[in-house]
Amino acid sequence: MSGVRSVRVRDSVSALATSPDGRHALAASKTSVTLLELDMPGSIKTVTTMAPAKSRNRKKDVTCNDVDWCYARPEVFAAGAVTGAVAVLNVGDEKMTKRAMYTFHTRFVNRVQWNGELLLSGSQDGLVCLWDTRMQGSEACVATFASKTGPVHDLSWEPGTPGDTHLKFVTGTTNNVAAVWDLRRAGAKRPVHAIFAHSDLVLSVHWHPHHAGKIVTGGRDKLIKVWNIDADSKTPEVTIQTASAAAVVRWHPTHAHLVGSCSNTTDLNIHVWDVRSKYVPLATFSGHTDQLTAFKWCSPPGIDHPGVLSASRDASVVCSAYGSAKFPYASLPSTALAFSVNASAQVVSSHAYVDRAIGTPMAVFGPDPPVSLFSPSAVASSLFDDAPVFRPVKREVTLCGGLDGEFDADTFRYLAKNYKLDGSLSMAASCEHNAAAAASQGCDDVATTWRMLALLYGDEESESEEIPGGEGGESNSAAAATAPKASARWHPGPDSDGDDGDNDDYGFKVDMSDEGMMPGARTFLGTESVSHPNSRMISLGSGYILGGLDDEAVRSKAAAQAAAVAAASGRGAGRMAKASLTLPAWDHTQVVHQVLHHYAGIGDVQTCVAIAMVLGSRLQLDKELARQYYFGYIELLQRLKLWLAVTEVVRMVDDEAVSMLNQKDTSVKFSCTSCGDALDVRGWFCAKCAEFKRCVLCQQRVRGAWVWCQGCGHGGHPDHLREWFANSKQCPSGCGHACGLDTKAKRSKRARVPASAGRAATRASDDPSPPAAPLPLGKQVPPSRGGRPVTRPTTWGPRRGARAAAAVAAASAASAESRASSTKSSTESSKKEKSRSLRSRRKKR
Amino acid sequence: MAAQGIETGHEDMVHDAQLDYYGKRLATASSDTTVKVFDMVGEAKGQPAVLNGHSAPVWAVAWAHPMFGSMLASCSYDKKVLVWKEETAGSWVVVYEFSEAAGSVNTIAWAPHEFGLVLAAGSSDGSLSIISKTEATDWTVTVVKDAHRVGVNSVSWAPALPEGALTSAGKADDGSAALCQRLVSGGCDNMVRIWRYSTQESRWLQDAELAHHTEWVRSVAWAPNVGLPTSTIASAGQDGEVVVWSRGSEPHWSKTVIAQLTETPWSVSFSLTGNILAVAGADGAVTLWKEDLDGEWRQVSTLTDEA
Repeated sequence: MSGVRSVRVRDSVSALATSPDGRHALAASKTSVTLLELDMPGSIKTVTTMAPAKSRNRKKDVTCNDVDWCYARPEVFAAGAVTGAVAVLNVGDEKMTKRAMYTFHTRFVNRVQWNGELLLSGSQDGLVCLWDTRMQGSEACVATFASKTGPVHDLSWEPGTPGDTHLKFVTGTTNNVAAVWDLRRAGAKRPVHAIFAHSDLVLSVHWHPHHAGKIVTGGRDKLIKVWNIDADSKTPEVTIQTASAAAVVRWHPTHAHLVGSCSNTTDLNIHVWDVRSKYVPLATFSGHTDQLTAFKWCSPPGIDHPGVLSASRDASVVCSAYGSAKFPYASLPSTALAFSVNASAQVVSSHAYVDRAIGTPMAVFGPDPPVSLFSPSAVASSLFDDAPVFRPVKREVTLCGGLDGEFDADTFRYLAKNYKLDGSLSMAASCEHNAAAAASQGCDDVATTWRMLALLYGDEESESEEIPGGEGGESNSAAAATAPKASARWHPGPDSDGDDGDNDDYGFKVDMSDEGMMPGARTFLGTESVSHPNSRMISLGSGYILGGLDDEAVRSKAAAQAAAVAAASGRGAGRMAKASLTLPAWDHTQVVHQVLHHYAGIGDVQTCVAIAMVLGSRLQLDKELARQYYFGYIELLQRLKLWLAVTEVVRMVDDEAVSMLNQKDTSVKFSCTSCGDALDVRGWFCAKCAEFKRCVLCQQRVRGAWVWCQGCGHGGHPDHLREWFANSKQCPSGCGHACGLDTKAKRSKRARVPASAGRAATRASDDPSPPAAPLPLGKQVPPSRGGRPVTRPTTWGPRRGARAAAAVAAASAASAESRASSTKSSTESSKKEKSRSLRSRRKKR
Repeated sequence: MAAQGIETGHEDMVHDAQLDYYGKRLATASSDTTVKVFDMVGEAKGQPAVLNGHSAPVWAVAWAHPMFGSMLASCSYDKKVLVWKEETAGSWVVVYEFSEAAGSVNTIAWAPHEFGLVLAAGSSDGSLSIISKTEATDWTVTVVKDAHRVGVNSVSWAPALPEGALTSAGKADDGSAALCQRLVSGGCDNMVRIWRYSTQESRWLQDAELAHHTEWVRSVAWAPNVGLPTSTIASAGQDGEVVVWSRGSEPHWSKTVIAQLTETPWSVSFSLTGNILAVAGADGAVTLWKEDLDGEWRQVSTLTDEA
């Protein structure tokens, strides 16, 4: 790796010191101290290895724990020994003859720090001693600082202004305390400031070289904290979490915001943090294979390759140039995308225009255009420059809308609501209607498709007729052979199972008279219909009648041909009769399949599904494929919260998987009328109110539906009250309220649903009555329609369905007998009550 | 194209932003260890709910299908995946914490709701974890170890289609064909891998290995599919290439390199109907690509924000 130079020394290095000019370094290890030359490009050279002569007096051994280069006298350095002695030695002296030796500490010395001619040493015995190296012998110990804070792990002098002596220093000790001492108060038992820095040992402290009062501390609790003792020594300004114990923390000599840290345990990297962006390190230097013991910033001016000097137990000293670092910000994702379903398909992307150089929120300096592409060299140069160029970090998220040609939610919604897919119109009329709807939205190609389908499939009606025997009454008789309207009735739900294999998807049945029509005959829809008893006829929408043809394929071809003819020749021409036509074969089903495939391909699944639903089984679509279309469409509808359209599709599609959707998602609950809490159905007991409801007439517990007057609050079983109010208007409880005389009852806008509780609420009733207009209240209900339970289409989404259904279920009769009883002409008053209870229940919800 | 900037108020980089199922809420994940949930419409617009639970930069968020309630998952550098649920409007609690990964969890994705509440998480330790919860049981985790050697960067689920819907014209008449769980993952070994859950063996098997990229695969996305017999996957690599892989009825995946970008594409994403592919580059520009009729992918437009 370029920019990384290393050298091996004799054994594991425990400390480092750099010379004032940055050209040399000392690496202290157990048996020797090595002088290294850093300024050589390409490598670090070992200049001298200093090793003490073996001496019998172990007290004279200088097994160094720490070294520090004296900046005042660059030929001298200090070493703190494991024995507790502090020695002042000459740089480069191979025999390590000591200039001076100070012994005071009783345990090993952890740190030595020069301050001019003064030397400070901190030791495991908890003492900090200040030595004046100009003195000799025992007078050298000028001051001791002892506090009960335990072994001292690190020391740092306060940076003074040039010329001034430094006056304060900070120590980091075992007791989680970083203590600031003042030289002028030597001998004091307690420090000037004591910062409870960490929750574990304070392993390292460093005073900021430029900002008075700022100290960084690193602890074994894996935190690095920056304190400002001038402002507030209780809370740190910044807390940085690191991966493992922060054994050495050092401010950068020139950049005010950079802190380097390394760990003495598992993490073998040196991290450079910008204290303003405390979550991700700015740069990471690696290169060692064993635990790190020391590191130093190595970037004095004039050096070609500023970098970081680090030493480790793997007996190597590595100098890594800034450019060789890894920059974690480069591998962090800075943009994200999300498509939305809303109008004009929004895309969200998050920007952090990361200033890859620093990666922090910073103001813009300098007018230069920012570095747009992250490149290590660009970073390296800008990272540690004196006049860096930064770019603002955007912590914004951008919503972009209006993607052309893609899914337009407004059109989708409009068409979902306005397409006629239910077969209430004839095929051709449905297609025309849908074409108009599509054209109104500007989807001309879709509109054209609909019109083509109208032509192709024209007035062909459903495959199977069956004479709906007896059910639904009027529809049967209405379609007399002579009556002009052979209207198709919408029969809700898949109630025609098992009748005939050939059902239309939406239960489309054509009513017709049973006289003269042969089985399997096809009648016709449309504006005019004439039935000829002896022939099967097909008529096109414009009034043509084509001779009946048995074979379906031929019939469809005939229809196509007729369409062509009709188109060509206009209205009124070409009344072709009877079965002797030979028409060219054209199976257009395949073409329609391709049309569907095309629409699916461009993402317009709405058109696919609409076509499939209108054409029904004529389309002969592969069941699996159709199912995918349906599910895809339902998913899109759900995203846009078009619940009515969802249930419309679910109910009309003849596919078990699809129609099961309604049954899966709906649940019905019963709730208490007083408090609205869910009732325990087994006992009909409301836990909250702690009561049963008793019927005012029979005094029995009301299980199920409960009807009450809004005025006086009395109520009971619906049947009993109905009977009562048939004869009287007074409240049965004797409270004097005239329950039945309230003339302000408004019509309920919605049809009453006497559906039974539970599943039946979602499934259509078996009665083939049309979704009639809302029953008028307060008036005599016409007998032909009166009392017949009207099915209300479930048009709610899953959640709302539960609630509304609950309201409905609770307000209506809970058993089949109610349906029977409701066929009697219902009394107005109970209906009023019901409607009011319905409305009030709904308001409550 | 009109662009609207939203000031998130995060203190550090924003790494991910996702809109929920209905497009009404936005969740953002940031390096300041918080996730913020913004309401895009309504009175509470602009006042985010702040979710604190991670202790390191949060890389990604993902919204679950609304049928499970208001649920959100977030993954972070602190090796955890947190699943949040909105108990009352505006207040979110952690309902599940997954911390078995040995490295930063880089990516999460919820499976299609037909499979239930299932979440896939890819981590820097190379493992792919599938976390799921059913009504009856509690949260269970299945781990695919060594999905990618150095780390998994991105996962994406295939849309729920019946088994064999892609490969054969055979239909399942009962309508209850088993839905096949498939997902695609991209990782630091430059590979895109497709995994399939085999119900017979009750474990995840590698279905295919797609090799093309020469550098880390940063993002993969499986296109939503409506009724088309093809499967389409897009992958973006650190080498600047965006590749679209597609498979029809044959088991072989064919690839098309649609773009060679100068900036590292950080993420790819398909639109809801699977027609448009959006590619986000490192400089914040988003380009949109669309396949035209002869199978060529063209750049349709570019979205940038006005600085």
